[in-house]
Amino acid sequence: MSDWISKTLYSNGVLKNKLHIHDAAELEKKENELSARNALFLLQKSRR
Amino acid sequence: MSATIVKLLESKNMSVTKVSEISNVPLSTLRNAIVKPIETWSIRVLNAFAIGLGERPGDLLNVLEAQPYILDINDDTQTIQGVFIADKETYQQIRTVVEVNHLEGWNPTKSDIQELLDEAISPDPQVAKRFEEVWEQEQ
Repeated sequence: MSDWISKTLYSNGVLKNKLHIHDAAELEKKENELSARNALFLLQKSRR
Repeated sequence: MSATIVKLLESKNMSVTKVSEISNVPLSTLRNAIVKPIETWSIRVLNAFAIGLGERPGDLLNVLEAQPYILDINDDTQTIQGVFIADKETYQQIRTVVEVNHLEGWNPTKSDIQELLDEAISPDPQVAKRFEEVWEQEQ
């Protein structure tokens, strides 16, 4: 069986991402900020 | 062990030996303290490290003490982390978003809330464009 999971990770174990962030804490922070921002957009859109 | 004091000393090219020399506090006392929680330090030890780092003891204590995170939401004052949100509907929307993401492990700061408020008042057209593209693909 191929080691498919390693293809999804950077060498330090962080999940590969479009922002090319290699630091786990920084990626988590960015992910939280972006999902909050997107959720706010959707909430505002649904009220219009 | 207080990792932060070690990092602070390293960042200022300061060794525990030097701190001991400058402050006249025995090296063994400082070495014993450094491996123990800051709550157990004597004022003498705190003062010694403060002198070594060129900081005021109170300021150093603030840096070293881990601040517990508090999500401060106040419906009466319509504030989240101290940020006042004048519009009731926007306040409720931001509150919902913050609470949902908080459950996922997000600990938003005052500036995070301020950014969300800015986003609510003047939405970034790029965000809307991205969603429009996704929705168009779905149809």
